[in-house]
Amino acid sequence: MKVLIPYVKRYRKDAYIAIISVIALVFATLWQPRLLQVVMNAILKGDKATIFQQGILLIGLAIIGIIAGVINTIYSAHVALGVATDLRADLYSKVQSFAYADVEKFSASNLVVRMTNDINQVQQIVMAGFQQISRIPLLFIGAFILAMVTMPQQWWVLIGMMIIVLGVSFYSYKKMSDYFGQTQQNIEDVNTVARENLMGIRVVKSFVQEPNEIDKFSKVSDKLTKVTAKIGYNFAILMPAFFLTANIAVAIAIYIVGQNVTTHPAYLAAITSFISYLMQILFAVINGGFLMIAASRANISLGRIGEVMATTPSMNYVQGDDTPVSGNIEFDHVSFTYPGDEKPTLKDISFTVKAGEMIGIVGATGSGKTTLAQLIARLYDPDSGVIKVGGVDIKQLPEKSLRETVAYVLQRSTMFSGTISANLRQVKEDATATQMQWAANIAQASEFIERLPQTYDAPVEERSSNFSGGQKQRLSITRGVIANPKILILDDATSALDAKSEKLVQEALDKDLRHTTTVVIAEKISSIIRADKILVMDDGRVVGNGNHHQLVADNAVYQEIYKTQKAREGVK
Amino acid sequence: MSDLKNAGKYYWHYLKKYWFGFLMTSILIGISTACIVIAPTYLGKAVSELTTYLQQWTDAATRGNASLGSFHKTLWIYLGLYIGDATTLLIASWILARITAFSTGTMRVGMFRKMQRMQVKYFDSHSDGDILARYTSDLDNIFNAMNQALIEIFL
Repeated sequence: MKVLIPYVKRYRKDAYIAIISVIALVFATLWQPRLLQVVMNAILKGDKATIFQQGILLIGLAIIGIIAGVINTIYSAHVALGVATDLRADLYSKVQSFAYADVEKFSASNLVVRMTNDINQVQQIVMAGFQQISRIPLLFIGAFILAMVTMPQQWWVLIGMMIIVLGVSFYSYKKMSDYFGQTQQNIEDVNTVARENLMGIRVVKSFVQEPNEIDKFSKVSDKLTKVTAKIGYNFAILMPAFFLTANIAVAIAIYIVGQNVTTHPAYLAAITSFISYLMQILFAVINGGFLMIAASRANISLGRIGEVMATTPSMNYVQGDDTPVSGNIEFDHVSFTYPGDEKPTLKDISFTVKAGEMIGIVGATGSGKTTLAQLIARLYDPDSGVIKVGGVDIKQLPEKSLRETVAYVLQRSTMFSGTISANLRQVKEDATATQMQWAANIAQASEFIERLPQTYDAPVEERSSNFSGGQKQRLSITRGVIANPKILILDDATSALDAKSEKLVQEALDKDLRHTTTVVIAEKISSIIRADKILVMDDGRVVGNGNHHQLVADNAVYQEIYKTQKAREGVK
Repeated sequence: MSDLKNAGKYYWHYLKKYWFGFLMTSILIGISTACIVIAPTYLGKAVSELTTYLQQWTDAATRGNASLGSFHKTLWIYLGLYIGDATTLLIASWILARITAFSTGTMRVGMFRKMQRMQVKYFDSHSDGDILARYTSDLDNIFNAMNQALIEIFL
């Protein structure tokens, strides 16, 4: 619950109003029966003046009660909504500060459930809290004092009843906490399967995987159902148990009055009011019990939110001004192992690239090409060794400088739903129409963008499904070059382009981004044949470093790749 | 209004197979209600029997006849009625909890089945977040609403 306090404090004013109004509400509730008693007496006596006077008071009190109730609900909702909104925003920006590895540790769907369902649980408890938090103790204390005054002898009946009710509540609180924990976990699992299904819906459809998917979903869904049922069964026990306890207490109270009626005859008259106070206490305790159980669910959710908040991003950037750096790249004995892997993916890599050069990286699948590129963009930090960009260790570069220097275009091009221009402006906020056109020209994207009715304001659908694979890659390259980066990494980014388009992109890059260092990762040697320098990777090591002619002459791995591709595709 | 009708149809589709559970719940709740309605009369009876006892006891002439026997008997009946109420209520709430949990579960899987029959076009024109929220947030809301509604209707 500690997580919550600073957030509630921000809405201090609303919180106070909610509490004050609930106190007014309790006052009105407790006072009404007393006034009613006065009115009844006056009616019996035929005292019209008192009936009128007290009657007006009674109506006034009822109106105060209603208004206080409405105000309480409004302000409780203000606090609850405000707290939930702020908490969600903070959680979101925390996730944005995470390193890639941190997000993978939690998994995306896990974080989504925490940002939606868990936050909702918290919102509900804050709302309930401000509606009940002072009402319950006030009603409880009021009724308890009045009951004690009525029949002081039977204090132990009251205490006994309370111990049983609180004991039962506490027991189920502990049990429910477990179940609620499982529930959130199961919701996450349901979300994971549903999300996977959505992302891969084309694969599911084309391989007729629907029955398997339904099986998989049913399994996780059934788990959730069973836990929900268990929670329901526990709740089912609570109400009857509470009422039975209260009525046993009533029977005991009457029995004792019966046994002592000859010595304390006055108690006989007090029985009725004692019972009604007993019931009021019971209601207060039951409400408190339910609030506690609801709190146990919220507490689980808060814990899950707190866990994300407490995670320090595994990668930190130095604070500082935006320092422009040049496009040199230097790897000095760099080794890297993925979290959870045993064997390193990159082993002792060293090379240098001068600003403005084009460097190609080739190698078999799994040889570490993409990992190497990801390290330049600092998606991960190396285990050992130093990576320098523009002569500066990238760990010493502020995040903004690094992002402005290095643009990374992935093979799987992810565009965000919205418009083309919105996607481009994510990289360069103030991109003008001319700049967008310039970038699209380089990427050979302008020809199809300009054919769209809304051109750069054309919509991008969910998963950018309204564009073909080649178009998506060209949009992705457009986004990569729009900010005119010092270093451009193309990670198999032209794989879906035909040879002619690929050639046009390369020519445009040569012409318009002459001062940009280009790192091209490619399966096809034809894509990097013109590179100033080619790194040949094999099993995490750089086994060749030179231009095409040098490598063809003396590098066995390169020769092998070249020969295979030449035979297959006719590389000249 | 037609929204309400559709919602009604929707719930009916998922809830009709639980008709026996609902029937049992109704019977049990009937018994429970009867117990709650009758019990206070026994409370009144116990108090008036106690009053009679006190009157007899106070009067020296009738003190010998004064007995708490019928008072005790009434108290036992009172207690018995509340035990009956608690037991029937327990079983009824248990059945309702089961119905709510399992019908929501069926809805969730039903929705997933339906999604598998949808064309790819549907997924392209609906945002993923929107679809995912239906599985988690919306079904959670249905569950809560049903929990409340069934309890209020029956209990």
